[in-house]
Amino acid sequence: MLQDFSRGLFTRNPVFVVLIGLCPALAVTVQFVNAVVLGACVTGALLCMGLSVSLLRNFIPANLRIPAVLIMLTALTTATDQLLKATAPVLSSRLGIYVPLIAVNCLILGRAGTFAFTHAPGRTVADALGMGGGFTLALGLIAFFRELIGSGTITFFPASGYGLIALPGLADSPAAVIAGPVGAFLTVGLLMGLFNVVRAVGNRRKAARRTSDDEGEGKTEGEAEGRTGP
Amino acid sequence: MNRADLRNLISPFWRLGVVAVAAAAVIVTVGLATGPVIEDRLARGEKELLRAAAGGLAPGERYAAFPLTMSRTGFAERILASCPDDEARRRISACYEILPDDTVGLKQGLPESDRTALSLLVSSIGYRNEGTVRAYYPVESSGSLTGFVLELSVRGFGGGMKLLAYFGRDGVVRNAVLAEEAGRGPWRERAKAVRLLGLFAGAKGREVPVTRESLTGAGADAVTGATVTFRGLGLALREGSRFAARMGGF
Repeated sequence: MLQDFSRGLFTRNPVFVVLIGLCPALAVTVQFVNAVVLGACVTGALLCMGLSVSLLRNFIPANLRIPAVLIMLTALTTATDQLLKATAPVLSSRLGIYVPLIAVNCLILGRAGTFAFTHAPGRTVADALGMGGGFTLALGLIAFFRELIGSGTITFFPASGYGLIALPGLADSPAAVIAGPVGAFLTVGLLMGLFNVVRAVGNRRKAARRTSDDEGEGKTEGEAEGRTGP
Repeated sequence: MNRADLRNLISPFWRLGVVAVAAAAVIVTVGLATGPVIEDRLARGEKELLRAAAGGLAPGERYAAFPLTMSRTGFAERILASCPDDEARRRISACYEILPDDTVGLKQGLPESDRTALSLLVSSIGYRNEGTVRAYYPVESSGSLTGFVLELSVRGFGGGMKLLAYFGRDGVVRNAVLAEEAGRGPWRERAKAVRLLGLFAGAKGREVPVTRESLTGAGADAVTGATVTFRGLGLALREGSRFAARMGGF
């Protein structure tokens, strides 16, 4: 179960490794708070969808799982959008079309249509939390750098004036290109590269550790053989 | 086809139907719970914006602005003559039973003589509201009419915008707030930061700047880019100024 959770966060991160859900990752990451809220919405949708599909996997016929998932996801997204409009109208207007578009998010369709249909609720919840967490982490990182460099600010709360940190110097003359579409691609590309370098280094270390462990085990076996030999 | 085949054929559909009904129930439940909250919030937001536009005063009821309004001569004077007091003047469209937002209705609501006068005025020097002024809210202070908050439709670089602008009875721009913006982007934040709309305050009619070059003072340097938006705002405020001055009897 822990593996299901950590897979989405790092080894199969939806944005940096699997490259899905890139549309909102590019569009809403102008401000940190937007990215985190959209990430939370997607995580919530993944969780609800995963759980519902997993519980109903024996009820829904296999050949109708895509229409069933679409119907459930559309209802869930509409409900989320309405709730967001009622409770956080500023954020809702900032996120705009990207909340209703969760209904066709490849990440949720993919996880609900494949993993949840073949696994028990417990593992599905772990997978949804991992994938949602990984998505939120990626969006948060992209937005953090884009807002910091592109606007010279970091917005933690939607209401203006509160939760906004303006960096002296950078806020007066930010690199506005980073806040635009070109900056979105650049930031995603650079972070993706960095993420893959870290992963590669981690894998190499793991492999090296495994090799040394194997060698160690071989030596011990050899020594043991030597001691017990004629 | 035997009963078992029929059951196999129907089974997936009724199961999908159950899922669809459950999904619809979720949407209806959430809609019923959140609908009134959203409506209430929108109404309160609109009121707050109007109050902000009117500089703290509470604007009155909303009246839709009719596409063809008063001219400099003749028609305006006649309307104003039949609406001598402020109370009647602020509901000028009601004086002649003019149907708002409808040119045909406007003409039909007028007596025959005024219909002819209207046609003449529109074809000559008539003031024509092309749809920039969507609605007006009379603003009162100490029991007398001080001006109007106009709902203006602005064409900006990123799309349409809704502007709420407060004009004095003489058509002078007193204040303006951006109510809605279709094309979102850094411009909105920038406009807030430099108090762009404040740069128009005090101007009237053709004095309202529509190019950055015509700006003076410290604000001029702050307005960079967004030339189309700036021009759109300026033109809409000019239109609003003319409208407010006609409504105010100037």
